[in-house]
Amino acid sequence: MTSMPDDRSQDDAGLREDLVAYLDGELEAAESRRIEARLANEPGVRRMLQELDGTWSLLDELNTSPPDEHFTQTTLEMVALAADEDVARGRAEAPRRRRRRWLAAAGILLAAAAAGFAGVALLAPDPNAQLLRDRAVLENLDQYRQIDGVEFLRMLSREKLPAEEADESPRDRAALGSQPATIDEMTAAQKEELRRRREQFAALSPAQQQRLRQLDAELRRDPDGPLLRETLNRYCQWLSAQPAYRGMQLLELDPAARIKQIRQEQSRGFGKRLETKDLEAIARWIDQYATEHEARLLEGLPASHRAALAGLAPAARHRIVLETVCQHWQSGSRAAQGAISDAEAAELRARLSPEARARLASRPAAEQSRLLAVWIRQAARQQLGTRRGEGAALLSGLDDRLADYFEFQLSPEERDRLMSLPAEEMQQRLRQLYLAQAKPAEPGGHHAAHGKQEGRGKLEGGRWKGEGGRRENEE
Amino acid sequence: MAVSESSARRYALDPDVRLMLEVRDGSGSAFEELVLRYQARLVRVLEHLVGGRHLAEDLAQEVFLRVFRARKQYVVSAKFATWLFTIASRVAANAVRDRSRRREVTLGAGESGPQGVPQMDRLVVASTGSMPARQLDKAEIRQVVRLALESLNERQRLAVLLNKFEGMSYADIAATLDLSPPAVKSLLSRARENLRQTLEPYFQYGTRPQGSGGPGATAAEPGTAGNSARGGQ
Repeated sequence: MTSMPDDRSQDDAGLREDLVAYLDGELEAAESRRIEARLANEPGVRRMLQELDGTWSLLDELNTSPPDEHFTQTTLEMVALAADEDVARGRAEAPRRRRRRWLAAAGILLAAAAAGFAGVALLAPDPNAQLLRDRAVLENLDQYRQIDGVEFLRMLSREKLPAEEADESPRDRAALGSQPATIDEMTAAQKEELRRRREQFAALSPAQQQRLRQLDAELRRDPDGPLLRETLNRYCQWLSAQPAYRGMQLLELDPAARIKQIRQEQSRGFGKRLETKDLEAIARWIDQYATEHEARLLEGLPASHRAALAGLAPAARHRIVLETVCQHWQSGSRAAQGAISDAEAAELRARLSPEARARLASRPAAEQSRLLAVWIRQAARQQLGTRRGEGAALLSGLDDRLADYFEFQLSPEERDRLMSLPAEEMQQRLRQLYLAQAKPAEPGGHHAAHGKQEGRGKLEGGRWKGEGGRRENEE
Repeated sequence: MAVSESSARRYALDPDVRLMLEVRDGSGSAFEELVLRYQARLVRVLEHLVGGRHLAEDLAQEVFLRVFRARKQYVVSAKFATWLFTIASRVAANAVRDRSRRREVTLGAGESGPQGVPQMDRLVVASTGSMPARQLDKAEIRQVVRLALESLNERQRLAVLLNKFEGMSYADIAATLDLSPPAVKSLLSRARENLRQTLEPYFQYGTRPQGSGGPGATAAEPGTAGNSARGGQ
């Protein structure tokens, strides 16, 4: 039977509260002194304090083992899934414009998380299972990333755009060869290519991954699937002859505006691809260009990269320089375009076939250098594609280009400024900077490029210009 | 809860609040960082709140999910840990309530009662019987301490865990439990006294108690029967 609380027990309760608060360091200074005085003079109070303290320390026994890596991984995956659901809900509810921004935000938010445990994913019990499931997407990864849905393909197909026939099978699929049934049957090069694409895919946000999987599934289900795929091939082929920023710009537009833009571009007639022999001739010219400008190009690299390259054999170093040149050409960077002397341009023309020269000559003077620039990009892309593991995708590497731009073309101060921004804002700002330097300037407008713009100063006098005297950076 | 600008600025110095603000602004790596920083602490507290590792991990994931879902509405109103454990306490309370409902259905009336007490009773009965007093081994100590903690009511237990393992101040515990700091002082005092009454007979001489009754009775009614059972202290 319990006794009724009396004055004594109330006093005890008050004293105990103070003792516990004293042990927890929660008493005011004056109260602490009062308790300390009692502790010094009253053995019963001292004993109470010791008992409270002693049993409290027994709770140390309750320490538990920390969760393992699997817990972290599944937690992040679960949250990624939840974000996917949010994206789907946003898709259903938000107007189209807002939706794109939302998707981008969710994508960027989770890209880091996805990348964060991509390493853990590699240790999963059966990595091949997921790889096989995503194989169809990986085979078409670079093409799928150029569009935002089947509906756009349908519109393109109806409009019979782009009108150019694809003159070669898409490199995207060709790089993976004849698609053996199992991973084990793949050649080393095919496995390497698949691995590269898988890394690219893993770096996408779960929402983006899901979008690509869905696109693939829709194309499979659609009765017009083969026709739409053909349209996609043609579109990507056409894009490959465009400046690299064009794909990004087009994706910013809604499908109707995009179609209109494509029609306009097409009417300018720059879409037609060159013959292979001319592309090869230009590739040789690029090679020579890289050799002649190697020292200057290396100068433009960060010191750490220069030091790393200095340790390489000359042939390996040249290959990297060549890739850098090709990337600059492919990106459509004005700095790269501007760094061609008249003599070099003349040399390039001389290497072309009579047919290509005739095609060039049929253009007004002001357009000739623009067309030549388009051809150089085509050749650079082909060159890059060939050099990367026997066939990296023609259109791949938007992320690569942004990373390249970030690393090589921005000043350290600009890089630091970007790094200090939140992830989403940083991506947005980087894209703006990239587009600003890659886009053609307004006629007579001010050049708004940022970063180093390597080589411009040296070759400024010899800048490659059309006779019309206007700025000839792009088309 | 309305928050003054100055207190928001004060909390903004908390590095975890800054991480959470990055999460709000779209940073996935900041979220991963928060998971890595808090997962062990959260699982430990939840494990002792709900009494099972597996369930604790599930609930911890639920807590992180809620944090993620609330990111857009996140405003700085407390330390991040305070906010996180407030969510955790609600999630745990829901889980315990759901479990009790299921128990009522499966066990029927008559077997409910303070959580953990029957286990404590069983432990005492099973460990005493005809056995002489003997030294407790490490595993037994852990089990007894765990059961003593489980014998506390939910609020006491959470306050003890936040105080002991999270090192939270009374003010932060008060914010987490939606109490006043003096109420937390009183709550923690009762909790520690209950723990002392339950554990002291076991450990005063490093032995199990002889016979049944004493400790079991103490644990059965924390804060009530325990007060009168302290006669021997």
